[in-house]
Amino acid sequence: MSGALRSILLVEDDVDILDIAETVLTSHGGYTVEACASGEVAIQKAPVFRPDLILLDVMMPKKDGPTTLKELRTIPALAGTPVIFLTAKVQSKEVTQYLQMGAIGVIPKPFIPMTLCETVLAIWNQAFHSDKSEKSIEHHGT
Amino acid sequence: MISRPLEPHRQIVETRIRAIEKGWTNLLRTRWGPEQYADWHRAVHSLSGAAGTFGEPEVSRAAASLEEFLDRAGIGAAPPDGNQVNEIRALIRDIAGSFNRPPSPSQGAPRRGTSAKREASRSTRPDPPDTVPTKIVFLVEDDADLGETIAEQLRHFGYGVRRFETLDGLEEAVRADPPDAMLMDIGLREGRFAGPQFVRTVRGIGGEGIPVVFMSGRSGFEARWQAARAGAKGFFEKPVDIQDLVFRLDLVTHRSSDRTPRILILVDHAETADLLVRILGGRGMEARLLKEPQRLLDTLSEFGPDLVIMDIQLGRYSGPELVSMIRQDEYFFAIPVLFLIDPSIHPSRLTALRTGVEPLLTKPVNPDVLLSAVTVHIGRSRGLRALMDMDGLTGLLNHSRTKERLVIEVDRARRSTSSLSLVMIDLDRFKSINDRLGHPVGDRVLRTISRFLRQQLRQTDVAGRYGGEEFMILMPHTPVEQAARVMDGLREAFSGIRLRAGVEEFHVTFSAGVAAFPDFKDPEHLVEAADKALYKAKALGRNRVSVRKGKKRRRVTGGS
Repeated sequence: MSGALRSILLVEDDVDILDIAETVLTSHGGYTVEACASGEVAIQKAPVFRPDLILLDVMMPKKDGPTTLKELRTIPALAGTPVIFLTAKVQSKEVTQYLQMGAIGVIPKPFIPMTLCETVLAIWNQAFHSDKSEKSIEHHGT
Repeated sequence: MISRPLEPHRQIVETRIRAIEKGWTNLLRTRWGPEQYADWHRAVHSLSGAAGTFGEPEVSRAAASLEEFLDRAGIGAAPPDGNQVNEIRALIRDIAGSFNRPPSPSQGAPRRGTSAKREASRSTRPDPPDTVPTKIVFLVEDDADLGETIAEQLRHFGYGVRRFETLDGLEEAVRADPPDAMLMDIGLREGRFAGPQFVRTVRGIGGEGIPVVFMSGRSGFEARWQAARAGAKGFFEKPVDIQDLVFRLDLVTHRSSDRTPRILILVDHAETADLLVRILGGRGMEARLLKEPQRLLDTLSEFGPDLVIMDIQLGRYSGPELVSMIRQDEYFFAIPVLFLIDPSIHPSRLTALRTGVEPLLTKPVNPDVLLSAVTVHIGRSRGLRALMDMDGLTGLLNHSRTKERLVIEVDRARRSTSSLSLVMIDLDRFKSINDRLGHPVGDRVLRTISRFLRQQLRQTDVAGRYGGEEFMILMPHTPVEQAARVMDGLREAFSGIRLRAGVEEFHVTFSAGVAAFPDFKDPEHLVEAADKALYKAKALGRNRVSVRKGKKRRRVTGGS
């Protein structure tokens, strides 16, 4: 799946961070964003929303990022949707795990609001305009 | 395009830091709860992942350091031991200290937050040894403009303020994160006496501990009676006098200008030591363990405790002998010492000990007894020092002590080859305030500026009352330019405080002269230089800061 990035499913349990990310992505990036404060909500909204990209927090209470992703993948329309993880833990072994789960990139937290859009777009472009086998892209938002 | 973090986000970070501070204190105070700990740990993790997004990357880093420590230490099912408690406390302090909190909206505002781990070079001001957590006040006032005005003024004095214009959501907010005090209008949109009525309801469900101060546009019996029924700790008629309000809030929130109590523990048995650290830590005190009696004097100098808890016998060292050794030093003669004794102690030895000055506590240590003894003795020793050191009206150092401290600080600066800045402050046109508005008003202005200075200066800074309306500030490890910038920020902020005399509102400004060691090599020349700079500031029009740099270099900032 390549082409233009227009809609983003945003999943983040910290509502203050969710708020700022949604604001930046919509007003600065012009994307259509569905903001979800938990994995559960994301699973409910995803089938109807059909995003181009999933932006997913890793550490969330109740249902964490990886678990949420597994469940999202069972929805046919989202089986191949690219995902970018948001996480404070960016040691290389964790990053490798995320990439093995099919992430096209990882954005470390805390991220700088004003560069979030550029970072997301850079990861997107690199995933779909370069050799597909090169999956490991790590961008630093700070 | 978001070009800088939005102002309200600073409050989000500050609120979260405070919740982490309080959460930790609560964890220590009660029986260890692994779920509570997990919640608290999650809050630390969230802060680390979020603060940088809100413009506070240092806070994110400091929180990440704490998280790293917690993970390595493997705390969870079992509570932390004494050393771990101390380390965690220090890391929490780093988080608070790294929060960039300018004193007020003004240019030249000092940057207070640098992570203690990035130890400052000689040329910059290091972090204060301990940061007092912000006291939070809930302000409930339906007049938005008035509410914002009062909130802004309170923030000058170091209070964090959350504003509410109606009772909506107030109860949940009180439950979720109880403030240190509430300041409330009697009449709100919900009704003439909605304020006191709300308070009475909240008290019934666990809000007993929160002091409430009322404001009212209506005076008279009914309003005051309703306030009293609600257990008010204060009642102010509008227009509210911010100075009176601040002094009252200080009182009801037990805010002292003193820093967090520091306790030095010299105890053999590891479990007793850990227990003491936990009990004291749970009360927000800073406890340090010392194992080797040989290092006692060095530790006293460096740590500067308010009290020492000591075993009656430490290996081959007897407690009382160690104490007389301490007391040989004039500086430590007033430090209180508590002895821990075994219940199996021989009665004759006990009698001998009882003739000494130091209080005795038997093991096993009863937490309430310990806390009570510690509090009482610290209070007494501080009271004694206060009598000797403090100016009665303002609570700052008196003239003689200020001069003594100057000599001590110059000496320290010389030995550590660092900069010591001296600032001479003089209130502008103070005589006319006294003449026009009366001496009681003048006195209150002096108390207000003293309170303001203590609030805005670091714990390592020294503030003294030098003369009638003259103050001297010493800033160790601060080069003259930085001191001037800090003072200019304070000058601007202070000029913005609305003071009141009856119905009349007025403002007061001050002029300041700054000079530093080693530009000037000894106390006399330093004072003379700062004085000349002060004179210059006055001559140029007052309400400004003037710097004297030795030889021919001079500079003036501020002014209006």
